Amino acid sequence: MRPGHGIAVLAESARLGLKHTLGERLLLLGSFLLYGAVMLTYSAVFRAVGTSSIAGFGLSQANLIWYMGVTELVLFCTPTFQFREFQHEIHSGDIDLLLVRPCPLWIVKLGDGTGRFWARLLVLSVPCLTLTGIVAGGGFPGIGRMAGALLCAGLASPLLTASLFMLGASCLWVRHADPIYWIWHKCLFLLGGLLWPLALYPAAVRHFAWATPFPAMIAAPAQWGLPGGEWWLAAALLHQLFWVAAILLVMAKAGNAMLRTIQGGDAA
Amino acid sequence: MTLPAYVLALLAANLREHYSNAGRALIFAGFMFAQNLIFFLAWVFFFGSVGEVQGWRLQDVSMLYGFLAFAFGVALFLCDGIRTLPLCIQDGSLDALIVRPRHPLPALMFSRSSVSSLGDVLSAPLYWFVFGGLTVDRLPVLLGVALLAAAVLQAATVLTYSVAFWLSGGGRFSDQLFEILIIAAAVPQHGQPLGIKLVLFTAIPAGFVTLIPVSLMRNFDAWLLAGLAAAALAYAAAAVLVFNAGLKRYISQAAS
Repeated sequence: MRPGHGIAVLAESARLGLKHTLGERLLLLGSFLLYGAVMLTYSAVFRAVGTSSIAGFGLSQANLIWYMGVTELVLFCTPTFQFREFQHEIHSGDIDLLLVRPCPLWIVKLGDGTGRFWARLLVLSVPCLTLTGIVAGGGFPGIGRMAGALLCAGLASPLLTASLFMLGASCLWVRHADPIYWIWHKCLFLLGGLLWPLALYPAAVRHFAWATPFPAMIAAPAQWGLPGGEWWLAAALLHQLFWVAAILLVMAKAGNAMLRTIQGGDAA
Repeated sequence: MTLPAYVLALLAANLREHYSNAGRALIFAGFMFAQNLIFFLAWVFFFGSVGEVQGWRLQDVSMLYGFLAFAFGVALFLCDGIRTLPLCIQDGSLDALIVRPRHPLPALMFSRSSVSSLGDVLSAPLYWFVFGGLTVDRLPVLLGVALLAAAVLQAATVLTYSVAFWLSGGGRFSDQLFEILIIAAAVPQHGQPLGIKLVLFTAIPAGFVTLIPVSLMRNFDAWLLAGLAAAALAYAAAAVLVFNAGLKRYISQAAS
């Protein structure tokens, strides 16, 4: 397949994913309500934290709220149900129809996931970050930093989509991929620093977390909401770019392995 | 057949299904146990850094997670079928339950059992006794309070998924409303502003699922326990009323 053809497929899949998601108004409303519930409840917890206990980490209560505002936005933009949809396509046999296309399925899924992510980001970013600003009561990181956070969130999209694709595809070998998905999801929460910055973690756990791709999916965009030097943001960005390249390579390999398994009839 | 015997027969059918694939059941329950522990580690690291939050320490959050895990686990292990209500409305399979001589709600609720929720139920003792510092002699009170919390959670689940009677294509929206309930119950609520607390004891009864049970464990109060029992009854009654109203709407729309 020529690269130009692959890019065209990716773009068209993204366009369809975006269009499909923009039509799901009730779900988008539900996502905003869920985001609101998270921010309202957790912000009260952060406001109850003693300022002296977090000042040592260079953080304030408003920093914690803004950090979580961005991590939750990235999470809510991710169409995690894609994993279950893909698993269903494999179990039901619909995958056979998807595979007759003249392009690798992983490119179609990557485009679709990216389109869905960006659709949700376009719709949810302003109301969600506005709500975050209201509950934080100040400490706005600045337009430039928020723009950086949103761009890094966009970089997280292929990482998350690729992960969901591979998790869904794993049901070819383990029959039910749900348990693996649960562990991945909670590792995303824990090692990705979803609830609070990794700076609050013990040093050994923090170093281990940064050796995994999870911070690139969640913590990296949210770093833009925290005080700190630009060098740290640059390092987090490089970390993201490395993992995007690595995971897309693994996704392509997984797509080929999936095709061989289905065509060979060796599925679980 | 009396209603209790009918419910027991439905439960037995679900248990037989799990037993027939015991290996899968154990794997699902085990992974659910592990995922709960992974998530709880985030709170371990948080309290390791900040110490306490308005008087609450890791032990209190651990008790909270124990109650949530138990309530969620019992509710979904026994009555996960209610979460299929949107799909049943959409594909018309609810009709098969309506034409039966019994009220469709028990059959719907007990039509499915989530085997992974067993992992949640088994997580509870870990959070209560290992992380929470409770002693085994408090088990009778713990179980009584936890079962009341489970009743509130199940009633709230029925209320949440009954929304599907009014919102076409609202299956995933009902799932999102249910997640709001779980999220609200999974966060320390004692420091929430008054407005949020009001919501947590009315529209989203998360306060009855975790805050009240933890308060009872910290300082037992018979009146508070009575209040929790009354809340469980009230939400159960509300759940039946709302479900019936939705069912009436569904039947009238099908007839027209």
